[in-house]
Amino acid sequence: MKRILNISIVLFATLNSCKPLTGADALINQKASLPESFRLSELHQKVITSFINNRKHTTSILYGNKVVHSILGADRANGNSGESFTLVTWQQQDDAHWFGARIPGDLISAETLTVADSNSQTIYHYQKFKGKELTKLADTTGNADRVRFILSKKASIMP
Amino acid sequence: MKKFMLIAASAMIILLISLQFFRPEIGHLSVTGDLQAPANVKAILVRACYDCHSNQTNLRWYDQIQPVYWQVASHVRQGRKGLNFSNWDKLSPMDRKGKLWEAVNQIEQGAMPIKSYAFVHSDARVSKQDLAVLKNYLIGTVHETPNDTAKLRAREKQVQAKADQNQQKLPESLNGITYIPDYKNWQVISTSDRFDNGTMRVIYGNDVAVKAIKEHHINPWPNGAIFAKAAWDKLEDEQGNVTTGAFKQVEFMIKDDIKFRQTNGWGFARFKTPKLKPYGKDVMFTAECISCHKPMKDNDFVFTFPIKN
Ligand code: HEC
Ligand code: HEC
Repeated sequence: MKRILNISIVLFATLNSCKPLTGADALINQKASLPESFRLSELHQKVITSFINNRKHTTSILYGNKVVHSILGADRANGNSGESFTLVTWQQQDDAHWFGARIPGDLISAETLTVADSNSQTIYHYQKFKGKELTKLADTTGNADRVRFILSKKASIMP
Repeated sequence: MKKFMLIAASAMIILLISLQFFRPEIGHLSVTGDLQAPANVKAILVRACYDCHSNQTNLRWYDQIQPVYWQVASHVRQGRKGLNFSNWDKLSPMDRKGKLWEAVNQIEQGAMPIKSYAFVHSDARVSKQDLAVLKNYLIGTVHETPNDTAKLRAREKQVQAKADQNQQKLPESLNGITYIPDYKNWQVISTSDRFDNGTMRVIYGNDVAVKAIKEHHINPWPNGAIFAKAAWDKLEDEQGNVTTGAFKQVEFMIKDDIKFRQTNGWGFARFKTPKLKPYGKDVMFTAECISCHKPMKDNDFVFTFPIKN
Protein backbone atom coordinates (compact mmCIF):
# COMPACT_ATOMS: atom_id res chain seq x y z
CA MET A 1 0.00 0.00 0.00
CA LYS A 2 2.80 2.37 0.97
CA ARG A 3 4.49 1.60 -2.36
CA ILE A 4 1.40 2.47 -4.31
CA LEU A 5 1.05 5.68 -2.35
CA ASN A 6 4.68 6.52 -3.08
CA ILE A 7 4.23 5.76 -6.74
CA SER A 8 1.22 8.05 -6.97
CA ILE A 9 3.09 10.82 -5.19
CA VAL A 10 5.97 10.45 -7.63
CA LEU A 11 3.66 10.57 -10.63
CA PHE A 12 2.16 13.73 -9.24
CA ALA A 13 5.53 15.22 -8.38
CA THR A 14 7.05 14.60 -11.82
CA LEU A 15 4.20 16.53 -13.36
CA ASN A 16 4.77 19.45 -11.03
CA SER A 17 8.51 19.48 -10.46
CA CYS A 18 9.83 22.98 -10.60
CA LYS A 19 12.76 24.43 -8.70
CA PRO A 20 13.86 28.05 -8.58
CA LEU A 21 17.09 28.94 -10.36
CA THR A 22 20.19 29.63 -8.29
CA GLY A 23 20.73 33.35 -7.69
CA ALA A 24 23.63 35.20 -9.34
CA ASP A 25 25.13 36.17 -5.98
CA ALA A 26 25.61 32.54 -5.08
CA LEU A 27 27.24 31.81 -8.44
CA ILE A 28 29.72 34.66 -8.79
CA ASN A 29 33.07 33.77 -7.23
CA GLN A 30 33.16 36.76 -4.88
CA LYS A 31 36.26 35.90 -2.90
CA ALA A 32 38.34 35.35 -6.01
CA SER A 33 37.09 38.53 -7.73
CA LEU A 34 39.42 41.49 -8.19
CA PRO A 35 38.45 44.88 -6.75
CA GLU A 36 36.97 47.08 -9.46
CA SER A 37 39.56 49.77 -8.73
CA PHE A 38 42.32 47.50 -10.07
CA ARG A 39 40.86 47.68 -13.61
CA LEU A 40 42.60 44.61 -14.92
CA SER A 41 40.08 44.23 -17.73
CA GLU A 42 40.92 47.68 -19.05
CA LEU A 43 44.58 46.76 -19.59
CA HIS A 44 43.51 44.34 -22.36
CA GLN A 45 46.40 42.03 -21.61
CA LYS A 46 46.23 38.43 -22.83
CA VAL A 47 47.02 35.20 -21.03
CA ILE A 48 50.63 34.10 -21.45
CA THR A 49 50.36 31.09 -19.21
CA SER A 50 48.77 29.69 -16.07
CA PHE A 51 50.46 27.71 -13.33
CA ILE A 52 49.82 26.01 -10.01
CA ASN A 53 51.86 25.44 -6.88
CA ASN A 54 50.87 22.05 -5.48
CA ARG A 55 52.63 22.66 -2.16
CA LYS A 56 51.08 26.02 -1.43
CA HIS A 57 47.85 25.17 -3.24
CA THR A 58 47.90 28.38 -5.22
CA THR A 59 46.89 29.01 -8.81
CA SER A 60 48.12 31.88 -11.00
CA ILE A 61 47.60 33.53 -14.35
CA LEU A 62 50.30 35.53 -16.08
CA TYR A 63 49.06 38.15 -18.53
CA GLY A 64 51.09 40.19 -21.00
CA ASN A 65 50.50 43.15 -23.31
CA LYS A 66 50.80 43.19 -27.12
CA VAL A 67 54.56 43.67 -27.06
CA VAL A 68 55.03 40.52 -24.99
CA HIS A 69 52.86 38.52 -27.34
CA SER A 70 54.59 39.79 -30.47
CA ILE A 71 57.90 38.34 -29.30
CA LEU A 72 56.73 35.22 -27.48
CA GLY A 73 58.98 32.27 -28.12
CA ALA A 74 61.94 34.52 -28.74
CA ASP A 75 64.53 34.88 -26.00
CA ARG A 76 63.04 37.21 -23.47
CA ALA A 77 65.07 36.25 -20.42
CA ASN A 78 65.93 39.87 -19.63
CA GLY A 79 62.72 41.35 -20.91
CA ASN A 80 62.30 43.82 -23.71
CA SER A 81 61.37 47.44 -23.73
CA GLY A 82 57.63 48.03 -23.84
CA GLU A 83 56.68 44.73 -22.24
CA SER A 84 54.09 44.85 -19.53
CA PHE A 85 52.94 41.94 -17.33
CA THR A 86 50.33 41.23 -14.68
CA LEU A 87 50.50 38.13 -12.48
CA VAL A 88 47.43 37.26 -10.41
CA THR A 89 47.59 34.57 -7.71
CA TRP A 90 44.80 32.89 -5.75
CA GLN A 91 44.56 30.31 -3.01
CA GLN A 92 42.87 27.22 -4.45
CA GLN A 93 39.52 25.94 -3.23
CA ASP A 94 37.52 22.82 -4.05
CA ASP A 95 35.00 23.30 -6.83
CA ALA A 96 31.55 22.89 -5.28
CA HIS A 97 30.24 21.95 -8.73
CA TRP A 98 32.78 19.27 -9.62
CA PHE A 99 34.47 16.77 -7.33
CA GLY A 100 37.84 16.44 -9.07
CA ALA A 101 38.53 20.16 -9.67
CA ARG A 102 40.11 23.02 -7.76
CA ILE A 103 39.25 26.60 -8.67
CA PRO A 104 40.46 30.02 -7.51
CA GLY A 105 39.54 30.86 -3.90
CA ASP A 106 40.80 33.83 -1.88
CA LEU A 107 42.66 36.41 -3.92
CA ILE A 108 46.27 36.52 -2.65
CA SER A 109 48.07 39.04 -4.82
CA ALA A 110 48.55 40.82 -8.10
CA GLU A 111 51.98 41.82 -9.37
CA THR A 112 52.72 44.20 -12.22
CA LEU A 113 55.94 44.50 -14.15
CA THR A 114 56.86 46.87 -16.95
CA VAL A 115 60.13 46.85 -18.83
CA ALA A 116 61.61 50.03 -20.28
CA ASP A 117 64.86 51.12 -21.89
CA SER A 118 66.65 54.20 -20.72
CA ASN A 119 70.05 55.12 -22.13
CA SER A 120 70.55 51.53 -23.30
CA GLN A 121 69.80 50.31 -19.78
CA THR A 122 66.86 48.04 -19.03
CA ILE A 123 64.68 49.36 -16.24
CA TYR A 124 62.12 47.19 -14.45
CA HIS A 125 59.12 48.68 -12.72
CA TYR A 126 57.74 46.06 -10.39
CA GLN A 127 54.87 46.50 -7.96
CA LYS A 128 53.06 44.05 -5.71
CA PHE A 129 49.47 44.38 -4.53
CA LYS A 130 48.22 42.17 -1.72
CA GLY A 131 45.01 40.76 -0.28
CA LYS A 132 41.35 40.94 -1.19
CA GLU A 133 41.59 44.72 -1.74
CA LEU A 134 44.92 44.45 -3.61
CA THR A 135 46.65 46.96 -1.38
CA LYS A 136 49.86 48.41 -2.81
CA LEU A 137 52.94 47.11 -0.96
CA ALA A 138 55.76 49.51 -0.13
CA ASP A 139 58.25 46.79 0.82
CA THR A 140 60.61 46.05 -2.07
CA THR A 141 62.61 43.12 -0.70
CA GLY A 142 62.59 40.17 -3.03
CA ASN A 143 61.46 42.26 -6.00
CA ALA A 144 64.41 41.28 -8.17
CA ASP A 145 63.58 37.60 -7.65
CA ARG A 146 59.98 38.20 -8.65
CA VAL A 147 61.08 40.04 -11.80
CA ARG A 148 63.26 37.08 -12.76
CA PHE A 149 60.44 34.67 -11.90
CA ILE A 150 57.95 36.47 -14.14
CA LEU A 151 60.37 36.77 -17.04
CA SER A 152 61.30 33.09 -16.79
CA LYS A 153 57.79 31.86 -17.49
CA LYS A 154 57.29 29.99 -20.74
CA ALA A 155 54.17 30.70 -22.75
CA SER A 156 51.43 28.07 -22.89
CA ILE A 157 50.88 26.43 -26.26
CA MET A 158 47.81 28.03 -27.80
CA PRO A 159 46.80 27.44 -31.40
CA MET B 1 -25.35 10.57 -13.12
CA LYS B 2 -24.42 7.48 -11.12
CA LYS B 3 -24.54 5.48 -14.30
CA PHE B 4 -22.21 7.91 -16.02
CA MET B 5 -19.68 7.63 -13.18
CA LEU B 6 -19.86 3.88 -13.42
CA ILE B 7 -19.19 3.93 -17.15
CA ALA B 8 -16.33 6.36 -16.74
CA ALA B 9 -14.76 4.23 -14.01
CA SER B 10 -15.09 1.04 -16.04
CA ALA B 11 -13.60 2.75 -19.08
CA MET B 12 -10.70 3.87 -16.95
CA ILE B 13 -10.12 0.35 -15.64
CA ILE B 14 -10.34 -1.17 -19.12
CA LEU B 15 -7.87 1.42 -20.37
CA LEU B 16 -5.43 0.65 -17.56
CA ILE B 17 -5.72 -3.08 -18.16
CA SER B 18 -5.21 -2.75 -21.90
CA LEU B 19 -2.24 -0.48 -21.21
CA GLN B 20 -0.58 -3.42 -19.48
CA PHE B 21 -0.29 -5.15 -22.85
CA PHE B 22 1.69 -2.36 -24.43
CA ARG B 23 5.15 -3.18 -23.21
CA PRO B 24 8.15 -1.49 -24.73
CA GLU B 25 10.99 -3.99 -24.80
CA ILE B 26 13.92 -3.26 -22.50
CA GLY B 27 15.72 -6.43 -23.47
CA HIS B 28 18.05 -8.57 -21.44
CA LEU B 29 21.34 -8.01 -23.17
CA SER B 30 24.53 -9.79 -22.33
CA VAL B 31 27.22 -8.70 -19.92
CA THR B 32 30.38 -8.47 -22.04
CA GLY B 33 32.63 -7.20 -19.27
CA ASP B 34 31.34 -6.05 -15.91
CA LEU B 35 32.69 -3.07 -13.96
CA GLN B 36 35.86 -3.90 -12.02
CA ALA B 37 36.10 -2.10 -8.69
CA PRO B 38 36.68 -2.93 -5.01
CA ALA B 39 33.73 -4.88 -3.53
CA ASN B 40 32.45 -2.09 -1.28
CA VAL B 41 32.52 0.41 -4.14
CA LYS B 42 30.86 -1.92 -6.59
CA ALA B 43 28.13 -2.91 -4.11
CA ILE B 44 26.95 0.70 -3.90
CA LEU B 45 26.83 1.14 -7.68
CA VAL B 46 25.07 -2.19 -8.21
CA ARG B 47 22.43 -1.34 -5.64
CA ALA B 48 21.84 2.26 -6.75
CA CYS B 49 22.58 2.32 -10.46
CA TYR B 50 22.49 -1.10 -12.08
CA ASP B 51 18.75 -1.11 -12.77
CA CYS B 52 19.27 1.57 -15.40
CA HIS B 53 23.00 1.45 -16.12
CA SER B 54 23.67 -2.24 -16.71
CA ASN B 55 22.20 -5.17 -18.58
CA GLN B 56 21.32 -6.73 -15.22
CA THR B 57 18.14 -4.74 -14.75
CA ASN B 58 16.06 -6.12 -11.89
CA LEU B 59 12.58 -4.70 -12.09
CA ARG B 60 10.27 -5.12 -9.09
CA TRP B 61 6.56 -5.90 -9.62
CA TYR B 62 5.59 -2.30 -9.03
CA ASP B 63 7.93 -1.18 -11.80
CA GLN B 64 6.09 -3.37 -14.24
CA ILE B 65 2.66 -1.78 -13.92
CA GLN B 66 1.62 0.65 -16.61
CA PRO B 67 1.89 3.62 -16.88
CA VAL B 68 4.87 3.44 -14.48
CA TYR B 69 6.54 0.82 -16.65
CA TRP B 70 6.65 3.21 -19.57
CA GLN B 71 8.82 5.64 -17.68
CA VAL B 72 10.96 2.88 -16.20
CA ALA B 73 11.61 1.31 -19.61
CA SER B 74 12.54 4.65 -21.11
CA HIS B 75 14.91 5.38 -18.21
CA VAL B 76 16.57 2.01 -18.64
CA ARG B 77 17.02 2.48 -22.38
CA GLN B 78 18.40 5.99 -22.05
CA GLY B 79 20.45 5.19 -18.98
CA ARG B 80 22.23 2.29 -20.68
CA LYS B 81 23.00 4.44 -23.70
CA GLY B 82 25.08 6.94 -21.71
CA LEU B 83 26.62 4.58 -19.17
CA ASN B 84 26.54 0.79 -19.14
CA PHE B 85 28.54 -0.99 -16.45
CA SER B 86 27.91 -4.33 -18.22
CA ASN B 87 29.94 -3.24 -21.26
CA TRP B 88 32.80 -1.81 -19.24
CA ASP B 89 35.31 -3.66 -21.46
CA LYS B 90 34.18 -1.58 -24.44
CA LEU B 91 35.63 1.58 -22.88
CA SER B 92 39.28 2.64 -22.92
CA PRO B 93 40.93 2.80 -19.48
CA MET B 94 40.78 6.58 -19.69
CA ASP B 95 37.08 6.61 -20.55
CA ARG B 96 36.33 4.22 -17.66
CA LYS B 97 38.03 6.59 -15.28
CA GLY B 98 36.18 9.55 -16.75
CA LYS B 99 32.80 7.83 -16.49
CA LEU B 100 33.38 6.94 -12.83
CA TRP B 101 34.22 10.54 -11.91
CA GLU B 102 31.19 11.69 -13.87
CA ALA B 103 29.04 9.08 -12.07
CA VAL B 104 30.16 10.18 -8.61
CA ASN B 105 29.65 13.82 -9.53
CA GLN B 106 26.10 13.06 -10.71
CA ILE B 107 25.42 11.52 -7.30
CA GLU B 108 27.00 14.40 -5.40
CA GLN B 109 24.95 16.98 -7.32
CA GLY B 110 21.78 15.02 -6.59
CA ALA B 111 21.13 14.19 -10.25
CA MET B 112 21.47 10.40 -9.87
CA PRO B 113 19.89 8.03 -9.12
CA ILE B 114 16.83 9.66 -10.69
CA LYS B 115 14.76 11.14 -7.84
CA SER B 116 11.45 9.52 -8.68
CA TYR B 117 13.15 6.13 -8.82
CA ALA B 118 15.03 6.60 -5.53
CA PHE B 119 11.82 7.72 -3.88
CA VAL B 120 10.13 4.43 -4.65
CA HIS B 121 13.25 2.23 -4.38
CA SER B 122 14.46 3.43 -1.01
CA ASP B 123 17.24 0.81 -1.06
CA ALA B 124 18.79 2.58 -4.07
CA ARG B 125 19.48 5.83 -2.24
CA VAL B 126 23.14 6.71 -1.84
CA SER B 127 23.86 7.81 1.73
CA LYS B 128 26.53 10.32 2.78
CA GLN B 129 28.73 7.41 3.91
CA ASP B 130 28.26 5.62 0.57
CA LEU B 131 29.27 8.77 -1.25
CA ALA B 132 32.37 9.11 0.94
CA VAL B 133 33.35 5.52 0.07
CA LEU B 134 33.05 6.30 -3.64
CA LYS B 135 35.00 9.56 -3.36
CA ASN B 136 37.80 7.99 -1.32
CA TYR B 137 38.16 5.28 -3.89
CA LEU B 138 38.50 7.84 -6.70
CA ILE B 139 40.96 10.00 -4.75
CA GLY B 140 43.07 6.86 -4.31
CA THR B 141 43.30 6.43 -8.08
CA VAL B 142 44.90 9.85 -8.60
CA HIS B 143 48.65 9.63 -9.18
CA GLU B 144 50.56 12.76 -10.04
CA THR B 145 54.04 11.92 -11.29
CA PRO B 146 56.67 14.64 -11.25
CA ASN B 147 58.64 15.07 -14.48
CA ASP B 148 56.40 12.74 -16.46
CA THR B 149 58.57 12.09 -19.51
CA ALA B 150 55.70 11.18 -21.82
CA LYS B 151 53.98 14.47 -21.03
CA LEU B 152 57.19 16.44 -21.40
CA ARG B 153 57.77 14.87 -24.79
CA ALA B 154 54.20 15.58 -25.89
CA ARG B 155 54.69 19.26 -25.14
CA GLU B 156 58.04 19.37 -26.91
CA LYS B 157 56.47 17.79 -29.99
CA GLN B 158 53.80 20.48 -30.12
CA VAL B 159 56.40 23.22 -29.74
CA GLN B 160 58.35 21.81 -32.68
CA ALA B 161 55.25 21.39 -34.81
CA LYS B 162 54.13 24.95 -34.15
CA ALA B 163 56.91 26.39 -36.28
CA ASP B 164 55.68 24.81 -39.52
CA GLN B 165 51.98 25.14 -38.86
CA ASN B 166 49.79 27.29 -41.03
CA GLN B 167 46.05 27.14 -40.52
CA GLN B 168 44.34 27.89 -43.81
CA LYS B 169 40.62 27.72 -43.07
CA LEU B 170 38.92 27.94 -39.68
CA PRO B 171 37.66 24.47 -38.68
CA GLU B 172 33.95 23.86 -38.10
CA SER B 173 32.35 21.48 -35.59
CA LEU B 174 29.88 18.81 -36.74
CA ASN B 175 26.96 20.91 -35.49
CA GLY B 176 28.11 23.85 -37.62
CA ILE B 177 30.01 25.99 -35.12
CA THR B 178 33.08 27.72 -36.51
CA TYR B 179 36.17 27.90 -34.33
CA ILE B 180 36.53 31.36 -32.74
CA PRO B 181 40.24 32.31 -32.63
CA ASP B 182 39.41 35.59 -30.89
CA TYR B 183 38.78 33.86 -27.54
CA LYS B 184 42.40 34.60 -26.62
CA ASN B 185 41.46 38.29 -26.41
CA TRP B 186 38.55 37.66 -24.04
CA GLN B 187 38.58 38.05 -20.26
CA VAL B 188 39.49 35.12 -18.06
CA ILE B 189 36.55 34.25 -15.82
CA SER B 190 38.10 31.29 -13.99
CA THR B 191 40.69 28.52 -14.03
CA SER B 192 40.36 24.88 -13.10
CA ASP B 193 42.89 22.40 -11.78
CA ARG B 194 41.46 19.02 -12.78
CA PHE B 195 43.18 16.43 -10.64
CA ASP B 196 40.63 13.84 -11.83
CA ASN B 197 42.21 13.75 -15.29
CA GLY B 198 45.56 15.52 -14.95
CA THR B 199 44.68 18.66 -16.91
CA MET B 200 44.49 22.38 -16.18
CA ARG B 201 42.11 24.82 -17.81
CA VAL B 202 41.54 28.51 -18.39
CA ILE B 203 37.95 29.63 -18.91
CA TYR B 204 37.28 32.79 -20.92
CA GLY B 205 34.12 34.84 -21.40
CA ASN B 206 33.34 37.19 -24.32
CA ASP B 207 32.18 40.79 -23.80
CA VAL B 208 28.53 39.82 -23.47
CA ALA B 209 29.39 37.27 -20.79
CA VAL B 210 31.67 39.66 -18.89
CA LYS B 211 29.03 42.41 -18.94
CA ALA B 212 26.46 39.92 -17.64
CA ILE B 213 28.78 39.02 -14.77
CA LYS B 214 29.30 42.68 -13.87
CA GLU B 215 25.53 43.18 -13.83
CA HIS B 216 24.79 39.90 -12.04
CA HIS B 217 22.57 38.74 -14.90
CA ILE B 218 23.98 35.26 -15.26
CA ASN B 219 21.07 32.96 -14.61
CA PRO B 220 20.00 32.53 -17.29
CA TRP B 221 22.95 33.88 -19.27
CA PRO B 222 21.95 36.40 -21.99
CA ASN B 223 21.91 35.42 -25.65
CA GLY B 224 25.27 36.14 -27.24
CA ALA B 225 27.28 35.10 -24.18
CA ILE B 226 30.12 32.75 -25.15
CA PHE B 227 32.54 30.74 -23.03
CA ALA B 228 35.79 29.23 -24.20
CA LYS B 229 37.68 26.70 -22.15
CA ALA B 230 41.25 25.79 -23.08
CA ALA B 231 42.89 22.70 -21.55
CA TRP B 232 46.48 21.51 -21.17
CA ASP B 233 48.27 18.58 -19.59
CA LYS B 234 49.56 19.33 -16.12
CA LEU B 235 53.36 19.17 -15.95
CA GLU B 236 54.68 18.90 -12.40
CA ASP B 237 58.27 19.19 -11.17
CA GLU B 238 59.74 17.88 -7.88
CA GLN B 239 59.00 21.15 -6.10
CA GLY B 240 55.30 20.87 -6.86
CA ASN B 241 55.34 23.56 -9.54
CA VAL B 242 52.75 22.75 -12.15
CA THR B 243 52.93 24.32 -15.60
CA THR B 244 51.00 23.79 -18.82
CA GLY B 245 52.07 20.87 -21.01
CA ALA B 246 50.64 19.79 -24.34
CA PHE B 247 47.54 21.68 -25.51
CA LYS B 248 44.59 19.28 -25.34
CA GLN B 249 41.61 21.17 -26.69
CA VAL B 250 39.47 24.26 -26.66
CA GLU B 251 35.71 24.08 -26.07
CA PHE B 252 32.98 26.62 -26.66
CA MET B 253 29.48 27.19 -25.33
CA ILE B 254 27.48 29.78 -27.26
CA LYS B 255 24.20 30.99 -25.76
CA ASP B 256 21.27 31.38 -28.13
CA ASP B 257 18.01 30.07 -26.79
CA ILE B 258 16.39 30.03 -30.24
CA LYS B 259 19.14 28.76 -32.53
CA PHE B 260 20.31 26.16 -30.02
CA ARG B 261 16.93 25.40 -28.45
CA GLN B 262 17.43 21.68 -28.94
CA THR B 263 20.64 21.64 -26.91
CA ASN B 264 19.34 23.53 -23.87
CA GLY B 265 20.01 26.95 -25.41
CA TRP B 266 23.75 26.39 -25.85
CA GLY B 267 25.81 25.64 -28.94
CA PHE B 268 28.54 23.20 -27.90
CA ALA B 269 31.81 22.74 -29.79
CA ARG B 270 35.17 21.12 -29.05
CA PHE B 271 38.37 21.37 -31.10
CA LYS B 272 41.18 18.97 -30.24
CA THR B 273 44.97 19.42 -30.30
CA PRO B 274 46.79 22.37 -31.87
CA LYS B 275 45.40 21.12 -35.21
CA LEU B 276 41.93 22.00 -33.85
CA LYS B 277 40.30 18.79 -34.98
CA PRO B 278 36.50 18.98 -34.56
CA TYR B 279 35.42 16.46 -31.91
CA GLY B 280 32.88 13.67 -32.37
CA LYS B 281 31.62 11.12 -34.87
CA ASP B 282 28.39 12.93 -35.72
CA VAL B 283 26.16 15.81 -34.54
CA MET B 284 25.10 13.74 -31.55
CA PHE B 285 28.42 14.43 -29.83
CA THR B 286 26.55 17.20 -28.05
CA ALA B 287 24.56 14.57 -26.10
CA GLU B 288 27.78 13.86 -24.23
CA CYS B 289 28.29 17.49 -23.32
CA ILE B 290 24.69 17.84 -22.23
CA SER B 291 24.56 14.74 -20.02
CA CYS B 292 27.56 15.85 -18.03
CA HIS B 293 26.41 19.49 -17.80
CA LYS B 294 22.83 18.49 -16.91
CA PRO B 295 23.28 18.49 -13.10
CA MET B 296 23.94 22.25 -13.54
CA LYS B 297 20.46 22.83 -14.98
CA ASP B 298 19.58 25.24 -12.16
CA ASN B 299 22.60 27.36 -13.21
CA ASP B 300 21.73 27.43 -16.92
CA PHE B 301 23.97 24.34 -17.46
CA VAL B 302 27.13 26.24 -16.52
CA PHE B 303 29.66 24.87 -14.02
CA THR B 304 31.97 27.87 -13.68
CA PHE B 305 31.66 30.29 -10.77
CA PRO B 306 32.77 33.41 -12.68
CA ILE B 307 35.33 35.87 -11.29
CA LYS B 308 34.95 39.63 -11.74
CA ASN B 309 38.08 41.31 -13.04
C1 HEC C 1 15.84 4.90 -12.89
C2 HEC C 1 16.92 4.76 -13.77
C3 HEC C 1 18.28 5.29 -13.35
C4 HEC C 1 19.00 5.01 -12.22
C5 HEC C 1 18.61 4.11 -11.08
C6 HEC C 1 20.25 5.70 -12.36
N1 HEC C 1 20.29 6.39 -13.54
FE1 HEC C 1 21.83 7.47 -14.26
N2 HEC C 1 20.74 7.96 -15.93
C7 HEC C 1 19.46 7.55 -16.17
C8 HEC C 1 18.99 8.17 -17.40
C9 HEC C 1 17.62 7.99 -18.01
C10 HEC C 1 20.04 8.95 -17.89
C11 HEC C 1 20.10 9.81 -19.16
C12 HEC C 1 19.18 10.97 -19.14
C13 HEC C 1 19.36 11.90 -17.99
O1 HEC C 1 20.47 12.39 -17.77
O2 HEC C 1 18.37 12.15 -17.28
C14 HEC C 1 21.14 8.79 -16.94
C15 HEC C 1 22.36 9.39 -17.07
C16 HEC C 1 23.43 9.17 -16.23
C17 HEC C 1 24.76 9.64 -16.47
C18 HEC C 1 25.23 10.41 -17.68
C19 HEC C 1 25.65 9.40 -18.70
C20 HEC C 1 26.15 10.03 -19.98
O3 HEC C 1 25.40 10.06 -20.94
O4 HEC C 1 27.30 10.45 -19.99
C21 HEC C 1 25.52 9.23 -15.42
C22 HEC C 1 27.01 9.48 -15.22
C23 HEC C 1 24.66 8.51 -14.51
N3 HEC C 1 23.40 8.48 -15.04
C24 HEC C 1 25.08 7.95 -13.34
C25 HEC C 1 24.25 7.22 -12.49
C26 HEC C 1 24.69 6.67 -11.24
C27 HEC C 1 26.10 6.80 -10.68
C28 HEC C 1 23.63 6.04 -10.70
C29 HEC C 1 23.57 5.31 -9.37
C30 HEC C 1 23.94 6.07 -8.21
C31 HEC C 1 22.51 6.18 -11.61
N4 HEC C 1 22.94 6.92 -12.68
C32 HEC C 1 21.26 5.65 -11.43
C33 HEC C 1 18.72 6.67 -15.41
C34 HEC C 1 19.10 6.18 -14.17
C1 HEC D 1 32.49 14.48 -17.96
C2 HEC D 1 31.87 15.74 -17.79
C3 HEC D 1 31.87 16.77 -18.89
C4 HEC D 1 31.62 16.58 -20.23
C5 HEC D 1 31.34 15.29 -20.96
C6 HEC D 1 31.68 17.90 -20.82
N1 HEC D 1 31.94 18.85 -19.88
FE1 HEC D 1 32.13 20.85 -20.20
N2 HEC D 1 32.60 21.12 -18.25
C7 HEC D 1 32.69 20.12 -17.30
C8 HEC D 1 33.17 20.71 -16.06
C9 HEC D 1 33.39 19.97 -14.74
C10 HEC D 1 33.35 22.08 -16.29
C11 HEC D 1 33.89 23.13 -15.31
C12 HEC D 1 35.30 23.54 -15.67
C13 HEC D 1 36.31 22.47 -15.45
O1 HEC D 1 36.59 22.11 -14.30
O2 HEC D 1 36.82 21.92 -16.44
C14 HEC D 1 32.97 22.30 -17.67
C15 HEC D 1 32.98 23.55 -18.28
C16 HEC D 1 32.75 23.77 -19.61
C17 HEC D 1 32.81 25.07 -20.25
C18 HEC D 1 32.98 26.40 -19.54
C19 HEC D 1 31.61 26.89 -19.07
C20 HEC D 1 31.06 26.11 -17.88
O3 HEC D 1 30.03 25.43 -18.00
O4 HEC D 1 31.69 26.16 -16.81
C21 HEC D 1 32.62 24.86 -21.59
C22 HEC D 1 32.63 25.91 -22.67
C23 HEC D 1 32.40 23.44 -21.78
N3 HEC D 1 32.48 22.81 -20.56
C24 HEC D 1 32.15 22.84 -23.01
C25 HEC D 1 31.90 21.48 -23.17
C26 HEC D 1 31.64 20.86 -24.46
C27 HEC D 1 31.61 21.58 -25.78
C28 HEC D 1 31.47 19.54 -24.21
C29 HEC D 1 31.17 18.42 -25.20
C30 HEC D 1 31.99 18.31 -26.37
C31 HEC D 1 31.60 19.33 -22.78
N4 HEC D 1 31.84 20.53 -22.18
C32 HEC D 1 31.50 18.11 -22.18
C33 HEC D 1 32.38 18.80 -17.47
C34 HEC D 1 32.08 18.20 -18.68
